[in-house]
Amino acid sequence: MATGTTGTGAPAGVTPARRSGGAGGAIGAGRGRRDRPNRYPDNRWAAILLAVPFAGLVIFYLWPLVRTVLLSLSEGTAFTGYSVTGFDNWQRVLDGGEVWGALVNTLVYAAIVLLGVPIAMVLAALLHQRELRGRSFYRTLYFVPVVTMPVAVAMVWRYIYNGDFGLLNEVLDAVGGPTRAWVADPDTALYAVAVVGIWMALGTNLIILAAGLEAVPESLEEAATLDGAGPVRRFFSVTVPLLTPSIFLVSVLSVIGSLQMFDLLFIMLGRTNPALADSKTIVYLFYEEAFVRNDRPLGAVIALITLVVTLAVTAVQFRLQRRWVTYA
Amino acid sequence: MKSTKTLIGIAAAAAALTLAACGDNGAGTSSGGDGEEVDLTFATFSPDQEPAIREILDVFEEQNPGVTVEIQIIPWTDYWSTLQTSTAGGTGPDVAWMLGAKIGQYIDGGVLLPLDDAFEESGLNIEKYPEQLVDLFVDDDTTYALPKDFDTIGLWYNKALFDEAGVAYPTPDWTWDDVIAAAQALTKPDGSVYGIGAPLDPQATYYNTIYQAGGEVISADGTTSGYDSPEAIAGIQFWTDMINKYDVSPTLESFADTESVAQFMSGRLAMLTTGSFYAIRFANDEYSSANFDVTELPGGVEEATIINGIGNVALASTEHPEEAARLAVFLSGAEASQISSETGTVIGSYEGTQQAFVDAFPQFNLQAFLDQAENGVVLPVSRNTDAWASRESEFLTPAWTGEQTVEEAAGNLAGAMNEALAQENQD
Amino acid sequence: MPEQRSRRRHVVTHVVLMAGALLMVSPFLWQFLTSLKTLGESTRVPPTVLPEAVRWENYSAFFDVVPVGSMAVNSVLALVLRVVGQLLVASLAAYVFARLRFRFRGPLLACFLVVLMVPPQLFVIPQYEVIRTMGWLNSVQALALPGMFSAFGVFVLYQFMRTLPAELDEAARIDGANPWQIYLRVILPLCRPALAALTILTSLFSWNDLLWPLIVNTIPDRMTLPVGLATLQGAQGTDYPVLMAGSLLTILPMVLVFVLLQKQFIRGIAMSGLKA
Repeated sequence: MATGTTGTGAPAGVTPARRSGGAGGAIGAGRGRRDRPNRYPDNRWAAILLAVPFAGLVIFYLWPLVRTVLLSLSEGTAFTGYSVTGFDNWQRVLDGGEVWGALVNTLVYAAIVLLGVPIAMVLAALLHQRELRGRSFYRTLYFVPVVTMPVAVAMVWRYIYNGDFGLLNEVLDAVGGPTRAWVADPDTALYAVAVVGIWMALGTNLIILAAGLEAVPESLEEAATLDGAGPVRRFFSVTVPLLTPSIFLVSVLSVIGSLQMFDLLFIMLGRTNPALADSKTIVYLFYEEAFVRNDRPLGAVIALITLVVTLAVTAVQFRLQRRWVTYA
Repeated sequence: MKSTKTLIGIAAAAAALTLAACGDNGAGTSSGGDGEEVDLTFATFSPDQEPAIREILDVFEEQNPGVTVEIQIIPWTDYWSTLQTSTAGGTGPDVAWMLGAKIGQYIDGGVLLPLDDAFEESGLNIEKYPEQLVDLFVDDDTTYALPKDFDTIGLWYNKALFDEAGVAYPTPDWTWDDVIAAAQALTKPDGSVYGIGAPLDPQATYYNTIYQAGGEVISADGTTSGYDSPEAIAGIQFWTDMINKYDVSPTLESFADTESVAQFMSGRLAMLTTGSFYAIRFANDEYSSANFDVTELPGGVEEATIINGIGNVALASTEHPEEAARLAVFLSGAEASQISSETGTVIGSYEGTQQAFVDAFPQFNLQAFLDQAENGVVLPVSRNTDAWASRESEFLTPAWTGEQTVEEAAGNLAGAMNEALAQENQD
Repeated sequence: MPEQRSRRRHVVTHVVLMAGALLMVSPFLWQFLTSLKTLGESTRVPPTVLPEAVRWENYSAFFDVVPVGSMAVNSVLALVLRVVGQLLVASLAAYVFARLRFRFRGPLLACFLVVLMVPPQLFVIPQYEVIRTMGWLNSVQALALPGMFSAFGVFVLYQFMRTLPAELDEAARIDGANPWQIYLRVILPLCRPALAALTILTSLFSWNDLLWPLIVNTIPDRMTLPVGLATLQGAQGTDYPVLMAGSLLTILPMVLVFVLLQKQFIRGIAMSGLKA
């Protein structure tokens, strides 16, 4: 999950996992009442209290979204203005190969970054041992990348990946590993960026999973120990199943963040990189159309495709969740 | 409980303050009536040139009492999108830097002020500017900008590496073959030094050789691509051969990792063709200043160097059209030109001010850039240059990496470019 | 016997954790070492680990290129305004959605949540137009405004408020309190941990934000630190030592705050990810 670097702040979020819960506690309580009638007793207060937040949402988020939809159906330039003409832009994008390639790259990236979740799980489990010394020390170190600026760390990583004098090649050379121009080689660039993606998100994933672990009742683990289960088996048969809600959440956050990945790629690859054609993500493509080629309408189409894909992938995740996530 | 209340109190106070502050700011630039204060904003993308620009603006403010100018620096990566967005909405800067490759869209959009009257009033002589550059900013006999400076491309070289390899320094008489021969002699087999840098950089490398070979990037009437001509292919091949045939340049991957100028400055390249605009950076770097020098580009079938310049435009949305136009002209005038040259920042465009640039860094033979200007070919542009120029690197990359022949890659690029030009001319 | 085994296991654990931690921080170590080298040293093959002579001048280069002082002030002001605004706005909206019963609750909540799925770059141009229309370009409020209304805060606080027992509101209502009073006196005080979490996350977003400040505030005195860093990159090209020095300076304040407020940070992240 790349932390957002734009004004909108939040990189990601999820719809509430417990959808069937509806209005949560409030409605549940209401249903229980004997004298029924008013299903909406708070209409007026809701309107008053929601006025400012909703106005802000409309002005800064919903209106831009509407504009984007209109723009995607328009033709024109920034100077001449735009007029709605129909679905030509959509056709141009969907017929062209670029968007599909970018989509594949984005999904590949998201899949690789998802590998960070099991890594974080192992680390979280190791850190969970209460008698272990220096737990907070480790947690601090693992967490530092989360609080740093993506732009700044991307610059550092680009330098480390340098094919001519980068630190990585030097280390690999010393141990007899392969060396190459990691972010300029079409075969490795996307993976190299994804490693940074994992690195940046590891702290967040670790913390969320650790919080989930705290919630696992110790008595269960102890019971398993008495049954003679070793630490590894205990981890898989007791801890992991109880941790599935946290794992699910971390996965959803990670995927949404990955689907919106832009800044790492932008800084680490640069504009004249031979690997760029094979590594562009969908948001990068949006940037290129909207801001480099100045084709805002086409950019709008790509942005909306990103939205649709994000919604679809998240929906699939929620659907699959029933198969493997157990809520206590 | 208590602390939460305090928190909310603070929050409410802050919100109230913000709103109050906003009210003040809203007015922004006061509409200056007669003899009143006039605030202008001037947008540029170069932090390097800021000191020189400030100096120029101080002179302007002195000559125009009551006018103050604020500089906006927008980083290059966002300059054009920001300028376009703000200008289209009518709230852009009053005066801004402009390039020949970009001005077409602004003229078509009708967002620029004609500068003819202000130019006449200034008493400057149009003959004293490089003609090709003046033409870049003229449309329908109306002048929208004047070139404030110009740059040409030269052959920079690292004397220390030449001495070490026992190769004679390049001279203005060198041909393409001389460059290849020297590059071969300068390249070290262990990969620590390459003879020359061959990055995929239109202005610094292959545009020059395309014109030297007698080709062109775009036809004179701006309707067709010249990339598929044998001359253009030869001009591109010159560079791809450096990598794929002679092994005297680092690969494209290497330039993606570390830009060519940085490699040159770290002593990894013995030669690099690039612009006069790097003189100031080289002079400020100890190693480069001591070891670098420059001469004219080698000749192909013809002599040619790409010449380019930045213009200053006044935006039609300004509240003070008269002052804005006067500022735009002043920024490209004789005094501004002199200051730019003296600081070694760029070559001032106004005749008679260029010697100051040559003198600014005596360690380099900067005269070479001026001598070449007569063979200058203006950086090729069309009405919507970005539509095809943004695809160049994408299509030429396979030629640089050796996956495609130059014929193939250039042919594909010509196809895409012709398509973009057809679209442009149909609008 | 089991004690011994557990100790041995700890050794393995430490080795694994240490190796991982080293991987996590080595980029920063390399950044620091590079920031003290000369350009020539930084591009040497093979790389040298320690600088030959310590060059602190690389740090002053950042100050030469951009007005670091006023940028730091802008970054802080924007952060404070955005955090305060976001806390107010998000807590109000979250309260309404989590605790009140009213018409169109579902669709309105969906409006907030769908925004989280949109790539943030999409909003930038229309938001810019709004700020411009208000005449607020190059101001602190321009930096903070869109972020104040971010749906992310609503999401985090909504998740938290839903977990509070419904009896709280009911008891207060019986005492004659209206929803505003309940929000202020009952719910908000209980949300302190969630508000702290949101404060931390919003601060992070605000401090690290690049694209938005880059677009709305273009006068050097009104820029934020990340924009200054981008400017530095534009001005110094690939002068690695100077770039590393500048980027280190820019990330340092947040890292220091993190080290000081570690517990709150970690709770903040955990909170935003608490299961629904």
